[in-house]
Amino acid sequence: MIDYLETYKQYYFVRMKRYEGNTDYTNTFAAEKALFDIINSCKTLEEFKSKMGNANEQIAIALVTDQQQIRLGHYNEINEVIKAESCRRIIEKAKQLNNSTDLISMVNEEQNAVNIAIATDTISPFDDTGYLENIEIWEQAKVPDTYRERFSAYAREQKTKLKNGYSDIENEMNKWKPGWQFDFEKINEERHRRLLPYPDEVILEQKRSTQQILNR
Amino acid sequence: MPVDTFITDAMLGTFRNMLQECRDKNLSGDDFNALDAALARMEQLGAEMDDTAAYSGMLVQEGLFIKFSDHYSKLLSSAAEQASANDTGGYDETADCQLLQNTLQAYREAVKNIRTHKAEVKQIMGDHATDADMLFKDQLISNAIEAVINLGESGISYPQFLTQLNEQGLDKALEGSVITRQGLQYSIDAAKATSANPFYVKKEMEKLSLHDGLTDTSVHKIADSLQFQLGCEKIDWTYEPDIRKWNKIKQGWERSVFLLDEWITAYCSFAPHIEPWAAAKDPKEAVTESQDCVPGQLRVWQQINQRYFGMSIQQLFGHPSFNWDVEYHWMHWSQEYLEFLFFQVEPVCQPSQQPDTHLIFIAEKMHKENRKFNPNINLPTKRFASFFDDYFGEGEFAKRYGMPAKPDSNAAVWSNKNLFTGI
Repeated sequence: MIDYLETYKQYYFVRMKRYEGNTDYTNTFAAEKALFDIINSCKTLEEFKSKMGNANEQIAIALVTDQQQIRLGHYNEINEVIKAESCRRIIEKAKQLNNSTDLISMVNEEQNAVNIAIATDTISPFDDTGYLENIEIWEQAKVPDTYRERFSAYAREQKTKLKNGYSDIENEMNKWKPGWQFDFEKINEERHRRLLPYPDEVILEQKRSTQQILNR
Repeated sequence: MPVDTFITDAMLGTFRNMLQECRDKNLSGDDFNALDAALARMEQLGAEMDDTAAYSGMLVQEGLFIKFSDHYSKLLSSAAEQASANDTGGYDETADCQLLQNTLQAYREAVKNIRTHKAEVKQIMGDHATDADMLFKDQLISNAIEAVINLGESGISYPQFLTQLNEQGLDKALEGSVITRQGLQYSIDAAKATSANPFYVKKEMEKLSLHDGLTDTSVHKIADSLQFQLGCEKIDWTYEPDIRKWNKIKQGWERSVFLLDEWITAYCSFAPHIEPWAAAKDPKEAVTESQDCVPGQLRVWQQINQRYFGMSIQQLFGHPSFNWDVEYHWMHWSQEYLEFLFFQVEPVCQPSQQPDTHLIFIAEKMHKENRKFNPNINLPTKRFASFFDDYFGEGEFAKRYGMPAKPDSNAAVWSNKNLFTGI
């Protein structure tokens, strides 16, 4: 004859022990311990059922909180501010919840929001310097005067393509975030800036030239 | 015109099945109605819009996937709560047995679904169905699930089953079977076979090393999936700036070579009859433009790269990306032609200057003798084919994609990959 109370106590004990001493999962351990303490104080499983309350749900909330803390630490370390902010919001909102259904809804909503934020956090096409380089070549190359007008036309053609590039990205991003406009300030934010392999003064000049062409 | 049904079927098929499952279970109420409404809105947008990207964007903006999933989980959990409230027996043996049987049945269904989906994929892949066995290691996942089923069928109670699942790490094995060591090794081999630059290989090797480290230090010898995911993200994050800089510097010397080639070749007698000039409206005029204007373009390109990286044309040629392309046979040009361009043509390729007749003679000779191009330019494809055949079967690459013909070049093979290093 199986002693169900004892086997369930053993089960919750094993669950709790899995997180014991793990500094990444202190909230989960505390929530698992709270549930184990409840069952351990019970004389029958019926008593456990009546005393359990939402202790099980608190474990889910604690686990999400701990995992988001791990993610937050990672994103802080690599300075990915948008992803870090999403982790912070989930951690804060989780504190207000007391059941796993609301927790799942909240995490899903946040995931949706951060997906849009990441998709629209772009500095494309600024990171492709091809048009600016071609414009500089057509405008600055030392060539016989007879070619000047032709080279100016080549440069104008590149400027049109550059303008189209910005207009295309704005059209595309507006499908995800209505009202989206290219933000030149974003270029200096570390997650974007670190990917541009040029000195600051070059970036500044590229920004100035682009704004002049776009008339912004 | 609505979004193609091929697209909407792929995007909404799962949601339609989930709604039907709720109907089959006779579920109802506010969450069911909201579920129904969310799917109806997805269908409506699919019928009204014609741009797939805009359609996807609208589904995300309106949060329809989230709304659907949210109400679906609420609907199922309230149905479960209802069933539990009706259960007056509490924790008895029968209820526990039933819980165990339900759990095991769900795992059996999962194995069945995995096999069914793989069979469907293989059917779609037709002649290449065996690729699915290579790319999708379903046996690893099925084995992990079957270990769980075997445990549940061993005559133990539900709480004993749950306890041992934890103690033996079988739940972690389910999670861990998604990350396979073979998959990571495949990525390393693919990166080595491609050898586009050193960073892709390094990245994949570090991911395998991360996986092995996490496996070794875990109690159940299974890499933690969250730590592995974040670790891989950090590896990609670390190398991305290096990859971008490498590619941009490579573009620096590549474009310089093309300009030098264009300039000297424009002076060859046959220039108006070959590409790119032959395609111009007035080939002779186009040839003259190249002769007159390329030096000016090259020198602006030189200034741009000087500004970007503080590197002269000579220094661009000495960059490791140049040596890499020689070593891994990506270099388009032959060693003798590049030596000619670099040492003899580049110094005189200046605005208002012309090459002397001796240089033009050499360029014509190399062109006519077909010595401008790398005779080993087909080796990257051969290298990749060898990797492909190792995984998918001997001769499979050639059978599917064909092999490149031997390059039409009489040039000697590259003998000095560090030709311009330290110049």
